[in-house]
Amino acid sequence: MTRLDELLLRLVPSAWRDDVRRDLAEQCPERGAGLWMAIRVLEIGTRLRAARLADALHTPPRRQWRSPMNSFARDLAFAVRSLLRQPAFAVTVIATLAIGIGANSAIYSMFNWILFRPIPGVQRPEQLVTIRFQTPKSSGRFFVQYLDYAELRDRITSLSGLAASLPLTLYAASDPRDDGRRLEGELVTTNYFRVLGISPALGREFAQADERPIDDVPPAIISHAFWKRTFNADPAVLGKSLSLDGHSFTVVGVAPQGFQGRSLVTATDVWVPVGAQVILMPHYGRTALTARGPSLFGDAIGRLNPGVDLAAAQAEATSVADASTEFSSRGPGKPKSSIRPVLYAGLGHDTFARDRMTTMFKLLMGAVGLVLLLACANAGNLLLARTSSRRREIAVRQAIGASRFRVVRQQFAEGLVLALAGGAAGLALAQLLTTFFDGMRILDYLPAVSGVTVDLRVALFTLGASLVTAVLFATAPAIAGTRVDLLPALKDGLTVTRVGRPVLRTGLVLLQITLSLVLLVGAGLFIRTLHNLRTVDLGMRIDGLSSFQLDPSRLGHSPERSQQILRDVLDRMVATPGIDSAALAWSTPLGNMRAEMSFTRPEAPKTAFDAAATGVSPGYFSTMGIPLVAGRDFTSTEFGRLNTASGVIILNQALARQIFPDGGAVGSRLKLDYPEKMEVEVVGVVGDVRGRRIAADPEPFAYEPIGQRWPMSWGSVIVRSSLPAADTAASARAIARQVDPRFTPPLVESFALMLDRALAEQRLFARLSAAFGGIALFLAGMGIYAMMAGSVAERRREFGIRLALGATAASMQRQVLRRSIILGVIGITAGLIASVAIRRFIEARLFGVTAIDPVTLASASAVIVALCMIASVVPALRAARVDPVRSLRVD
Amino acid sequence: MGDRQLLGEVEQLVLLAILRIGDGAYAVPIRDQLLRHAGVTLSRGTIYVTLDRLERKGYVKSWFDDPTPEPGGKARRCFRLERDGMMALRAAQRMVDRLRAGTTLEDRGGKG
Repeated sequence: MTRLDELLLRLVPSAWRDDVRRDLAEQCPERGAGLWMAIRVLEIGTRLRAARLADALHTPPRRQWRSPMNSFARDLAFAVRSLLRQPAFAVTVIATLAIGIGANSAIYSMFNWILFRPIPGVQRPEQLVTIRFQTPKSSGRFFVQYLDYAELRDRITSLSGLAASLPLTLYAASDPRDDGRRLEGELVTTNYFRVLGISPALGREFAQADERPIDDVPPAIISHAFWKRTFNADPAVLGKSLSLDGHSFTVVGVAPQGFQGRSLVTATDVWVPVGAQVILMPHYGRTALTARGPSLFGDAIGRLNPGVDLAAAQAEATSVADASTEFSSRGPGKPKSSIRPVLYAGLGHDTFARDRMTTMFKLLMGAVGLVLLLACANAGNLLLARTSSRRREIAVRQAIGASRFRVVRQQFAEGLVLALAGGAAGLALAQLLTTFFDGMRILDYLPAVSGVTVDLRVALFTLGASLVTAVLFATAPAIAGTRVDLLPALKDGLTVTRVGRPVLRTGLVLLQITLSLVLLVGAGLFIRTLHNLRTVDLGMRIDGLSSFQLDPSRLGHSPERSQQILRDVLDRMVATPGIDSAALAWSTPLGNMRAEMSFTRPEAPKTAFDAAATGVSPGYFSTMGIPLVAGRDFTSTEFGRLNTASGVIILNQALARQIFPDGGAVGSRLKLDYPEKMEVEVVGVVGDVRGRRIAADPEPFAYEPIGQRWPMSWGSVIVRSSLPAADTAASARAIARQVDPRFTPPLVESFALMLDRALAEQRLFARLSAAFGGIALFLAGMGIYAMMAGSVAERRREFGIRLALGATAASMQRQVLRRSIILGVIGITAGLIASVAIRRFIEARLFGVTAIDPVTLASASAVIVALCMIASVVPALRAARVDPVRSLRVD
Repeated sequence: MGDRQLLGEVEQLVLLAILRIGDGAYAVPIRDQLLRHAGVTLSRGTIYVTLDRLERKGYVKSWFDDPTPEPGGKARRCFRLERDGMMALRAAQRMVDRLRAGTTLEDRGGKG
């Protein structure tokens, strides 16, 4: 055979190739062999192919049903047809599964949105690292100066780039005195977009020159969403002017669609270069980018060079900081601090937030997983009931030769169809449910969630859940359902005596009762926790209380002048009609600012007492509704009196008890060791106030008069008023504008709102666990009803005989109800045991209630008993109404 | 018979040839048989196409005999008539017989 022949032989279907080769070799004439062979190979090959093609086209389709896959496809088609014949059953099962799967997908979607998904639009996110600045001793994070960042950026070779950004809230308005819209802004180094792998959709990136202080109109890059929202996606936006905080910026670029900055939870609207710091943050001075000075960046984003791992980059970063003479020092010649760069893989949340959210995720997924399990049990029970009512059909099919495997496969196909339909419906439901998450907060200090959508990961998750569900609930009924004794099934398929597998069905109902009790107990505990936290004595009266922050220093005022402006605002606020009282404070209990002080008693200088601290104006305690327990409030002469030698201080009771266990705090003198060394006199003791972590015990707290150690250049104005919130806010805006027209409108927030935010996590748990509990009750109720109704239907003959023998209708009802309640009691017992067993998972999240709270456990049990009774009322009535004559006559 | 396809003339011939040869039928002897006993010359391609189709219909079955005793010799594929094939063949014969019953194929001395 020539090579041509071999080539032509490829035409022949492989099954024939060897035969054709051999046959032709046998018959080949000696002369002209080459051509003879080639022609015949060509002829045989093309004719075989053509014939196969023609046959395939003309074969009636039913001949294709021969492969196992095809016959399973036929099973599926048959399943769809038979389910369509019983739409009520199909809809019930699909809805049950959709609820379970939908709830799971919704919770997963939410956490996927805020925790797991990659930062949108960022290229090769696996190469990115976040550098945070920490000391070996503290778990806290520190800010570093621009020069520290620049030194790292220039020295590190394991990173292809290092960028830094500072989140800023900016006001977009042509006139800053307008209400203005708050924008999420980022002050970024000019390589920010390059490091993240982003090229602008329109226009340009920032230029190298933007890294220096900019005195004329600085550039700005806007997000795609902001471009569409504010500029109607006008391509001529480049070069247009944009007012931010009252300063003009020029739009030089539009970020690509989908890119929203470096955060999963905050969508940045506008990026400005770090050179704009001199304009937007004048209080940082003109040399913040060129000399040692105030700290600017809380972290930095780096991109690892290919082949470099995190550990190597970490080692290099540490050695760069160690080798530097002035990393994180206050200035040339000043000592270095112990702050060092610490690298974390990826962008996104800091480890603290991530850990907290991961714990929440696990707990909530556990709970919603129970809901799915419950839904599966319910669906399984419905399917099992259907299987036993189809005993006759199954018996007939087996009698005429269907193998048991064949019948099981048919049942499995039905389960699969139902699960996939349930999965699809669940996905749609999840999309609907995610809209309820809009505006919810997961953690108190993260922005509210918005725009959660079900994405590909969720779709895959849902598909997985559907398939697991199919296996879980289709297999058992399918296997159990085919263990049919053919003869009796064929003989009296209509009345059906006690059907096999009551154990399995009862077990599934018991499982449902157990799970719903566990979920109800959880709901009860979380709702009580939220209630306890809402009603706990905060140590202050928050109704009618609101506050807003003002930062005159950001407008370029000196600290002394800033303090004077704040005082001016306070005076005007107090003079406003409808304002009951007002005060100034550096921080508020529910806010997120925190400072610390450390004291010693002169007679025992070895023992230091640490306390949280803040500066307040006279009248702060009365405005806040914090009781003065002993001594006096600060006086107006102490307010703003700079005195670093000796000062006055007010302690809360917790701190007073610590330092002066025997009392006598007022009038005593203390030494302040940190942050300044000075002597202070305790002039008063006030009540304890709960902080942002409401559930935590009030911490030791010290108050000093504003301006005692240094002028306060920014702070919060606290207002107590019976006016509507909008009026208070309007007054605050008006006053701020009168004092300095350049003030951006302050955001006035009520303490009630801040409390709400502080309880975000607890509220999320209360709401979701209540929803889970509700779903569980609904599903378990359905399950109990279905089982009781089924069992009454099956026992109709028995009831008929009993009635015929003289039993009363009431006794029939009692019998049905008793059975249901016995089930309930067994389920409750198991549920209580389970609740106790899993209490350690939730104990840490409870407040004012223990995980085995008798009231909650008893109420949940009572609800379940009531559910059992309600769900079996109709079946009980039906049992009593059995007509003995008809039920006996059936055979 | 139902929707079962009718057996084509060539298919009948090939099936009969296989029946005659018994075990060990393959393309070359089948073609020889047809030439020798039926006086029909079928192209090789036709033989292969027909065998291929008959096998797909389940009328014949192939198996591999022992490899020919030569270096690298491969097993030859031989064909055997299946029960279905036999039934189809019988049905086809019966159909022809029934149709022919009462008719005569002798020349009646008409024109020609």
